[in-house]
This record gives sequence, C-alpha cells and structure tokens, in this order.
Amino acid sequence: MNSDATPLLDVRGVSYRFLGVQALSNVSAAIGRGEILGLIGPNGSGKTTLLNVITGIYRAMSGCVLLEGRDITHLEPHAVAAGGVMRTFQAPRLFSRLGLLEHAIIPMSAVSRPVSLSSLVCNLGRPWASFNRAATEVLRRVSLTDATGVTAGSLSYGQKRTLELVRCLAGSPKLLLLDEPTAGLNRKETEDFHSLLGALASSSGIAILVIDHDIEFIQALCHRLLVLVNGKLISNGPPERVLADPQVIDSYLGEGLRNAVG
Amino acid sequence: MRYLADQVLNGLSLGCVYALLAIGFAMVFGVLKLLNFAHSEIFATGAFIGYFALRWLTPDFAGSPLLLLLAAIMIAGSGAGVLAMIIEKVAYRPLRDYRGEGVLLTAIGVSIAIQNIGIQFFSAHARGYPPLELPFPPKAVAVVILVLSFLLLYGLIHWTSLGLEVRAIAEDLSTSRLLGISPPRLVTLTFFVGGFFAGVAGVVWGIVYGVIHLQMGFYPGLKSFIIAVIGSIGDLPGTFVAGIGLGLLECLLAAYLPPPISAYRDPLTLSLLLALLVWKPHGILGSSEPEKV
Amino acid sequence: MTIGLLLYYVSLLGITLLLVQSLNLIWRVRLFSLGHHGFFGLGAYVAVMVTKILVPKGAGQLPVGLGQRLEGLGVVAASVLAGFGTAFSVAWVMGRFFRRVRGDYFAVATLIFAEIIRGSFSNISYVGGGLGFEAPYLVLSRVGEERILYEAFYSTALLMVNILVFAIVRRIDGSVYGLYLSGLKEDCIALEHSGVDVVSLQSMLFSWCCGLAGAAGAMFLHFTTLVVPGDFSFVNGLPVILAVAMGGLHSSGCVMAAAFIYIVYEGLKNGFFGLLEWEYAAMASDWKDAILGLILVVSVVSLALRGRRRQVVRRHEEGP
Repeated sequence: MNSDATPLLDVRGVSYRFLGVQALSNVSAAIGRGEILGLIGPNGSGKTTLLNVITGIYRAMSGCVLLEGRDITHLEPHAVAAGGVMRTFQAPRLFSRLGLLEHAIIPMSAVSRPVSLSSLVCNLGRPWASFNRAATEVLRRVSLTDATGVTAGSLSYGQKRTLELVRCLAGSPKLLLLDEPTAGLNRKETEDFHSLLGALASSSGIAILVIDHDIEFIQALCHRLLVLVNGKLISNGPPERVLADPQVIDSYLGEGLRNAVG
Repeated sequence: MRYLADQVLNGLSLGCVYALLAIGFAMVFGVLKLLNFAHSEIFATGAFIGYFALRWLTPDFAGSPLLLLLAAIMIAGSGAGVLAMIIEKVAYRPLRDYRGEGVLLTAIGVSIAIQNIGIQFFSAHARGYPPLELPFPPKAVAVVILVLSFLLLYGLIHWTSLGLEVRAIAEDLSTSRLLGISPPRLVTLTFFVGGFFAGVAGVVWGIVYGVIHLQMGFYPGLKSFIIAVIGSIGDLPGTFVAGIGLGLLECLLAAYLPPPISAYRDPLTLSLLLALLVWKPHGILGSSEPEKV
Repeated sequence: MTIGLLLYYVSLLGITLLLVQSLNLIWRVRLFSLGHHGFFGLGAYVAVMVTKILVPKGAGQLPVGLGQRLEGLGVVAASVLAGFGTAFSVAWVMGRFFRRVRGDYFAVATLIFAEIIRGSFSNISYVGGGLGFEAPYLVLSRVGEERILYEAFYSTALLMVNILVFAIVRRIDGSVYGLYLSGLKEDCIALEHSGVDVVSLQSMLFSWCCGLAGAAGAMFLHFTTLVVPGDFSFVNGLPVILAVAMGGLHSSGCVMAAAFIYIVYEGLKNGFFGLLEWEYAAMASDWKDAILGLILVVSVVSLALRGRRRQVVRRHEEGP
C-alpha cells in the first residue's frame, strides 16, 4: 500500500443533519487503492448515512468528498457510480423480475455508455443479449450461474446478497461500499461471503469499505477500522489498536470483547 | 374605494370556498398520501344536496333562515361525507396501499363517472340557489361559516384523542397499527370529514354565487389541490391562508385586469399556482427532507 | 358503412394510437403525465398558426393541380414539424422545472398545464378562439371523387407512422434501454446506483414523446380540418389515458387496449357506426363518458384485486 499517493477516496470534514439530528459531524477519512476498511459502530451512529453522502443520495452540508482528487460531493448517485464507486444496501435492492445476467448488463452498459440520445440510437440496433458473454464472466467471479427463467425475486436471501455484489462488480468499480452485506445470512453463507470478499480484494485490487457487526470477520479481513459513534469518528487505525482503544470499548464493544481481544 | 372593498369581500368569500375545499382534500392526502380526484364531484354533490334541501325544507323552517341554512349545510355535508365514504370503500380500499398510479386512475374514473351519471339524471344546465333572507350579506355568512368550520376541524384534530389517532396514522401507518389504532375505521372517518367539508363548501358556493351546475367542481378541484400542497398538506392554518389568498387574487385579477387580458384570468391563475407548486413542492412551510434509503 | 367512412375511422384510430404509444412510453419512465392532451392541443394550435401564415386565404378553395397539392403537402409537413418542435421544447422546459416534483404531484401538474394550454388558446382569436378553426384542404379534399383518395392518404400515412413508432419502441425494448425501463419499474434507486442517469432518461423520453403528441395534433388538424378547443379537453384525453392504463406497461398491450377502447368509445358516440336504433344511439352517446369512467374504475380495481390474490399465492409458494 503506497500511503504517499493520492487516496482513492478522501472524505474531509463531512457533516450531515436530519431534522433535529446531527447524523454526521466533521467526519474525515481516506481510503487508498486496494485497501479494505471496516466501518463499525452502534446502530444509528451514521454509518449508512456516510455511505449515502459519499454516493450522492444526500448532499453533505459541510466538508467535501474527493474521488481520486476530483470533488464528487455534489454529484448525483449515477455519476458517482459511473466514477467507480459502487454500493450495496442494508436490504438488498434488486430488480426482482429481471434475470441474473440483466443485473450485470445494466451497470456494465450504463457505466461505459451513459444515458444520452446518441447512446439510445446506437443501442437501437443492439439487443441486450449481446452483452451476455461479458455478463456471464461477472457472474462466474462470484460463482453464480444464470439459468433461464430464474429471476432475482426467486433467489435465496444469500444469493440475493451475492447478486447485489454482481451489480457492483459489473460496473468495474474502484471502490465497493458494502452496507452490512452478511446481515441475515447463516453461518455457512457468511463465511462463504467473507472469503469471496477477501478473494475479490486480493485479485482485483478493488478498495472496499464494509459496514459490519461481525468483529472477528472485520479483524481478519480489514487493513484498517473506522469507528463511528453518534456521528463522530472516534477511532481510525489498524484493528488491533482500534479494538483495544478504551473509548471504542466503552461506546461500542463492551467489556466482554475487551477480554476476548486481550 | 367602495369597489375595492366589494372585490375584497368577493375574494374573501371565494377564498373561503377554496380553503374549505382544500382542507377536505388535504385531510385525505395528509393521512393517506392519496390524491382524491373525486373530491371535486363530492363538492358538486354537496352543492346539489344543499340545493334540494333548501327547496324541500323551506315550508318547515319558516322560523329562521339562518337555521334553514344550517340545516341545509348539515344535510349537504353529511350527504357528501357519506358519498366520500362509499367511494373510498368501493374504489380505493381494494387498492390497499393507497399509493401510486392505480389510485389516481380510479379516482379519475370515479370523478368522470359521477359527473356524467349525474348529468344523465339531473341534466347539465345550471340551477339557481333559492335566495335566502339572511340577516347578513351572504358573503359575510360564508366567511363566518368557514372560520367556524376551520376552528371545528382544528379542534378535532388537535384537541381530541380521535384527532390524535388520525395524526398518528398520518405519521406512520404500520406503527399506529401496532399501537392498536385501527386504520380502516379512521380512514373512513377521514374521508367522511373531508367529504363533509367539501359538501359545506358546495353549499357556500351556492349561496354566494347563486348558481350551480354539475361540472362546477373541475376548476375549483384543481386549484384546491395546489392550495393544499402550498398549505403544506395538513398544516391547517397554511391551507386556510393559501385558500383565502387565491380567492383574493382571483377576484382582484378579474376586477382590475384590462379586457383583452381578463379572459386569461383562469390560465393566469393556474400558471401562477403551477409556478408556486414547482418552487415549493413541499409547501410554504415544508421541509425538503430527503427520503431515507 | 362505406369504405370512405371506414378509412376515416381508421385515421382517427391512428391519431389515437400515436397518442397512446407516446403516453405509454412516458408512463414507462415513471412520469405519470395526465396532461398529454395538452401537448396534443399545443401541436394542433401551432399547426393552425403555421397554416394561417403559409396559407393566408384560408378555407374554401380546393387544391387543384400537382403544384398546388405539393405546396399543400409542404404546408402540412411544416406544421407537423412545427407542432413536434414546439411540443418537444415545451416538454423539455417542463422537464427541467419539474425535476423535483414528486410522482402524483407531477400528474396533477401536467393536468393543470394542459388546462392552461386549452384555456389560453381558446381565448386567442387568431387561432379561432372558442369557435375553433377551419383549416383549408391542402393536399386532397373530401369533395366528390377525391374523398376516397383523401381518406386513403391519411389513413395510410398514419398507419405507417404508427408502425414506425411501434418498431422503434420494440427496438428500444430489446436493447439495454429496455432493461433500464424494466429496472426503473422495479427499483429506481438501485438503477441510479448502477450508473443509469434516470433523470436524463426521463427527460429525454418525455420530450420526444410529447413532441410526438404535438405532431399528432398537427396531423389531426389537417386531417379533420376543423378543431375546436373542446377537442383537447381532459375528457377527450381520457380514452388515451384509459388505454395506457389498461394496457399495462407493455407497448403491445396498450395498443390493443387502445384499439378496443377506441372502438367502444367511438362506437358509443355514433350508435356503433349506424347499427343501433336512433334512440339507443342517442342514449349510448350520452352515457359514453360515464361508461368510460366506470370501465376505468372497474378495470383498475379488478386488476388490483387480482394482483393481491396473486401476491398471497406467491407468498405461500415462496415461503418466509
């Protein structure tokens, strides 16, 4: 990891307020190329809000977000996605009546050729099935195979989570933002997902920011941890240091874990 | 100067009708997020029920024309409210989530159906409201009716437990259900109250303008929708003010615009309202809080 | 029923189908416009203005000789283009302003816009005001022998335009844009985060489809040669809305629904093309709007009930 180079994503002093609630206060963090960051904290601490600000659903009320040096604070979500930042959601958002390949084709084509009249006209002659080969490739990376008649709605919960990952990967992202990707999965599915993430990170050099409550997993996978409590970033560093931080233990981890971590 | 005063009074009474109509509309929209397109027909129905009530009751209520008017209003309001409840039961409730295009379409269908069925049975010509010997000028009475209705509704919503339940449903439907509040019952009530006030508005229109006809609801309905939005939907004082404001604006425009332009009074008013809608899509006092993802 | 009359109704159906196809595409990008008839009217009135400028002598004279007819064709083409262009531009501007307006507000806003158009134009005496405008026969005329040719010309032209539009929409459906449209129906936010600029897509399709409605308006003027403001009222726009609603969000479904509704509505209007007795015909014509409204309610409600039943069944099949 070259910490001297411009970080891939640079969040600087971002604040955001809902009616009456300060969801984020002056949050600053940076992610480098190929880094894997864990974002942990109690429920309601602003983790998803931070993701929403980065991807452009919410506009930061102060501070800025830089992607490879470019200011993306005011960009719309589709532009952020096209810029290489892909995300998943707490509850998987899929196109339930569309098949698996389609989930890969949509981001693939949207990112490479943004919506415009010329792209529409060009595409008139090109059935979407012509993207099938490339789409199958993406599915293969996550060990999913398409079958006729299979729609996203008919998948198991674990497969749905994986399909969301497909949607992200198909857009050739530089950064993945994952919002509790293993919530609701059983032990086996969770382990599979975690090893998948690890493999993806090492093989493709994609940076990952993952929100999760599974401390063991976070510890094993992440290079660094961010701890968000009540909208404030209270810790930022390698897992061993962060998890031993008394402030973190007080506000989030609890005594039991302190003894476990040692 | 006298002319101006007349126009202001005209505007106030017209504004009363708009405000009453908008409040009824806003009630349903505030609670269910449903655009009750049929509201305009409920308004017209109220006017007609009032018309028939006034014609049939006169011999009995020789005592006081004011009481007669009150009776007509009660009857018209209740009739309109009942109609609103029926519409809800038949056309909206099956589309359970109350949102989206489907409801809008049925609402339009109901509106057109009622209007045209009405025309078949009652013919489209205009009818004159029977003149009432009221102790005060009809326009002043209209304003009083509005203020009283407004206070009544405000009291209902903010000071009774029933009103509290309605407000709870407006906030969060599923949580309210968990707390034991029964949405279907309250939805029916909301429609009744909204329809009631539309009916009252219809009668007020009748006594102020003297003429009613079956298609009278279309324009006022459109305008009341925008007023309800501008008044931030459910914010009663805001809707009240917006309605009065529109009434005043329309009358002053009609009075002071020079002839070639005066024909464009309606398109102009609508354009203004449309511009306001675009500028403040969440109402005058609304917040632009983005939806949580 | 003569051939001429049949072709006449085919042409009217053709106009309706253009409106239905364009509105259908607009609805498919989740813009539930209810004011499509406004753009229709706008196109027609722009065509009136173009015709008045290019053919000052007005109605009354019939075109004679190839030269005059070709000139007439030019005028028709010019007004169709003008109708398209104006409607397109207005829709584009509207799209910019209405970006932040939410779903059902947008629907009513478009409705109000259409009323503004109708209300404004019915007061402008230059385009005929409340009495309407009579356009001159430009290419062919309905007089005598030429009648059949006239009807054949317009019905064929409209048929071809409809087929073209239908083919384009089919192509769109088969391309990635078709996937975008399907995705939009399912989850707009997921689509946005997949990199699709939904707002631009909506704005683009809205402009083009409203432009098409404007062009249809211009064609309507030259076909019927007499337009009155009442032609562009909300009630007259209702069969189109009903067809799009009933056809679901498919391109072919709504075309068939449109044809069906059109036949029923026009049939009611004139006693099923002469088949009904006079009294029944008159009664049918009176009730046509009420029946339309009822059909709308019944079809939406039954669709919803069926959908709910299917949902319950699906939930049992899928399990928790």
